[in-house]
Amino acid sequence: MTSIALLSQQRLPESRTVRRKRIDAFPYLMLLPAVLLMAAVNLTPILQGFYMSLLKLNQFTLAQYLDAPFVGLDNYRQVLFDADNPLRTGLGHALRNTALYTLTVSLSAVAIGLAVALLMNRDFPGRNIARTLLLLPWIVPSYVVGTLWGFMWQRDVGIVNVVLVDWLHLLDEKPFWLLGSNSFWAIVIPTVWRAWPVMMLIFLAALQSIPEDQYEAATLDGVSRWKQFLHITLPLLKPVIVIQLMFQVIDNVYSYNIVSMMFGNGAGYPGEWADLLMPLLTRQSFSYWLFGQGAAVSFVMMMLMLVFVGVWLKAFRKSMTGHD
Amino acid sequence: MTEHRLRSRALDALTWTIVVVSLLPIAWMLLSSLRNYSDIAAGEQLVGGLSLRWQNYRDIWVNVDFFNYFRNSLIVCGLTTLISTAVAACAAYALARFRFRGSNAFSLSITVTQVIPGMLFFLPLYMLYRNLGQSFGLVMLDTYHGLVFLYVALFTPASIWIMRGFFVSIPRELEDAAVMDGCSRLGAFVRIVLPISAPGIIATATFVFLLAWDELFFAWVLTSSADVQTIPVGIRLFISQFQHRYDLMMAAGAVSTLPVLAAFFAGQRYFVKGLAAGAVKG
Amino acid sequence: MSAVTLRNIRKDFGADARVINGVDLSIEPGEFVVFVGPSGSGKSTLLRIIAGLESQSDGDLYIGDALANEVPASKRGIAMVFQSYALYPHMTVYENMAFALRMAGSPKAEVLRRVERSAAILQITHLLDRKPKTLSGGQRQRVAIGRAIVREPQVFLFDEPLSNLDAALRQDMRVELSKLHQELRATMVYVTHDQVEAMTLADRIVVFDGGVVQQVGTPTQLYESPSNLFVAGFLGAPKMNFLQGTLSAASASSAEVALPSVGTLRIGADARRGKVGDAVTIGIRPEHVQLGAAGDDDHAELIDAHIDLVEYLGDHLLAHMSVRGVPHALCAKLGGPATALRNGDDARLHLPHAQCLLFDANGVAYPRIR
Repeated sequence: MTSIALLSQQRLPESRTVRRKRIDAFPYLMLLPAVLLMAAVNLTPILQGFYMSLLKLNQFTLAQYLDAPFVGLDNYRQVLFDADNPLRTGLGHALRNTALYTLTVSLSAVAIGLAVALLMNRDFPGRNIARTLLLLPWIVPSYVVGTLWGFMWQRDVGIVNVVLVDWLHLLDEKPFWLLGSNSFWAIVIPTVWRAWPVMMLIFLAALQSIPEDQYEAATLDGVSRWKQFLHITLPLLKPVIVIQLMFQVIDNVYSYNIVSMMFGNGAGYPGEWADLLMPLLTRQSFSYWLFGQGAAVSFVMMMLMLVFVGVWLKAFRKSMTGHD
Repeated sequence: MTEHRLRSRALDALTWTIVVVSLLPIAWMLLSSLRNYSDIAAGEQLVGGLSLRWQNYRDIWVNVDFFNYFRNSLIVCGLTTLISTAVAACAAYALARFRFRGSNAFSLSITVTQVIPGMLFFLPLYMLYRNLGQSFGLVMLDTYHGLVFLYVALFTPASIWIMRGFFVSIPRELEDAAVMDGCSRLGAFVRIVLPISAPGIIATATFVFLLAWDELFFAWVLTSSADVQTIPVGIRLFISQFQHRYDLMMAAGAVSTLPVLAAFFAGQRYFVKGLAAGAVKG
Repeated sequence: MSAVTLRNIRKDFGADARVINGVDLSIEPGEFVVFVGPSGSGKSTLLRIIAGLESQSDGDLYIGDALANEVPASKRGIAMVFQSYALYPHMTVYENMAFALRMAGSPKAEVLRRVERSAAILQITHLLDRKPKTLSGGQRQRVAIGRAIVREPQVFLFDEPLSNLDAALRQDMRVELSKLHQELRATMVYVTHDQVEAMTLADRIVVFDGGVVQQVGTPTQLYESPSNLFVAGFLGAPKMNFLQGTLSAASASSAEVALPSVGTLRIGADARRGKVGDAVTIGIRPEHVQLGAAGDDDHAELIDAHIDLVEYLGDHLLAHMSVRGVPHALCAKLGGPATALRNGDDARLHLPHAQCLLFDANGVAYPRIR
């Protein structure tokens, strides 16, 4: 080859560099602030929190903090099995409520969000305005939502009863919304109200990224709209739905603000049907100085949620990576 | 064709009905905030005529420490947004562009942080802050920086998640071109990638502001004086103090909503497109 | 002194992905060299190594006569035009073109002068205040080239710059690039998978496949004397016809090949290294296949063929034919009176022995004797 012949005629400096892999510091440096923050605020406190759950921490020993008496799994045992334990009282209800609440809210928010996204996925005058307006319930801070709906659910002066009984005559008597089994709906409805707009936004974006020609081809083939939804839209949306459901579940299991503002501090305790896990834990831990046990329950919850996330992602991993 | 038009009209009507119904509670909040307290207590609804009582708004500023709460929330949430966005942008860029040891582990840990209940680590955090103050003289409890530090740590993971989606969608060739033009990698990030992804960054920042504004639990635990306490804490204290003054409560609620509303409208162009796209990809 | 020298360059991605497997190359100043090959052949990676955007796993790179292995990309005296132009969307055309100079700290007046000069060469002066997204594809291309010219580099690198343009525009830009090269007299290294671009633009072509250089030479050299089957089949459209046979006689100046069911062909080639009985391949380009009349002077047999399909292209036609004993269709490019041929006709073919190429069982060409 001509080029090699030329090569040998030139005198080029010999290569002195050794071929070695240089470790690039740049990404690590970029990551550093975030890592430090998370280590300081998330990692260490969690480890300490776990350790706390193994200690007897009450109003007497709190000052010793991590030097408080070590009781091993006693906290866990007490909370789970000890009938007199104040944390345990109401725990059964709170768990049941939280499970029902999470299920209801998550599914409703996703379903309503999806339905409205489908509705919004056409061109009509004022669409952008409508989309912005629909998002407003989410903008309202959750504690305001709690306060607002706490007011709306009031038996005598609340607007809900006024509308139902006085104006529309759908009911004869004004029920209590913040007591008894009604209180479950009293917390579910505001949560759904606040949650579905974001779902709608995300699903709408996903819907809009589906190319038109898929539907056009189906229409030419005579496929009905409903079937198009089932066989084109849903499969393509599956990854998004799966992820959003997962986030919804996590958010709702830990839900705190709405219940706390609707019921806490003088507006009455949530009662049997509206008490959720986090409000209960917070209230009882602070009232009875049972921080070790509170940490125990929290730790168990965290483990459960980690398992949930792991199982969930594994179960749906195929559907998420299959679609691009 | 008319069937198509009828259908369109029906869908339009349905859509706007949903909008109106969805906004009713908010409208009610605004209306109630302007009502006379005695009217509300008496159960009178709209009968009292439209005599708007702007007085309520003045009352909450004067009688309650609302001005302080408002100011504190603005400062804390504003700082949180700025710092968190900056930190998250750097981390997200590293994750989006580079393959390096530990990147998977880090991504995983971001997901894990979302699963952690505040209840689990609030006490250790409180103790940490207390110890820093007592042993090292670095006061963290009941301070702006204490709260901001925590908030930044809380909200950065979600920001990273979203921003990573944006950075991945920027063609690598742009950064290659910048490097060939003489930029360092940091320079390429700052001069090229950041300006291009500005919409996404603004969207994420708006999101963080909303999240920070919404935070109640830690604000309650880590602060004790009206100099630092934020709006949610203030409202909570307020409820126990003024149990049946719904008019004032609604006014407080309305005022609390204003800044996030403003932030949202300011960033909404980017927000609606950007956040959803990032979420879909991410 | 050559403009760019590559010595034994290797590149691995991970443990088992060897993308470039030992490349030695020397590029002369002012030369237009085209790297051509199929996707994944390593040509783009090699370009990026020259640019400094990737570093080689082994081997040395020299720019001019200085060792450039550790020199950062912006200091190599190299400018690159990217496939998707990579124009900064948030800057105007002027700012795009000025960016590199500003990074280097050039004074404003100098920047202005150079940008305006490049803009004039590419006739984009009227676009200087516009943003990239308001420009057409062809205009963006020019800006990308302009951005490279501004830096007054020693070497220009082009990474498939025309592949995003439509066919008509591509042709125009090809001509412009050629003219640009003549005007600037700069060294240009151009990567493409399109052999037409390679043939028309290059002073020399480097053919890549599987991370290895298959052949380096002028377009004529590669077209007329391809060194292996791959190069022979890659350049030229329609593709060269290949027939399998066995060597029945071999000498220093000619070879006889027995084609089953067809007959024997005599070919001008230095076949000394072959043995009788070796499997060989004959190659002949479609434009050299002739419709035969009896009585040719080189004892070539006429081959019976059946025309399966005729593609009419105005001044010539492509006849796809099947021949008994040959597994795949042969293609002939015919003009003139042959344009009367129709599908289903029978014809007799003549393969002029001066135009046949001979390849051994490994695909390596026997040197051609004319």
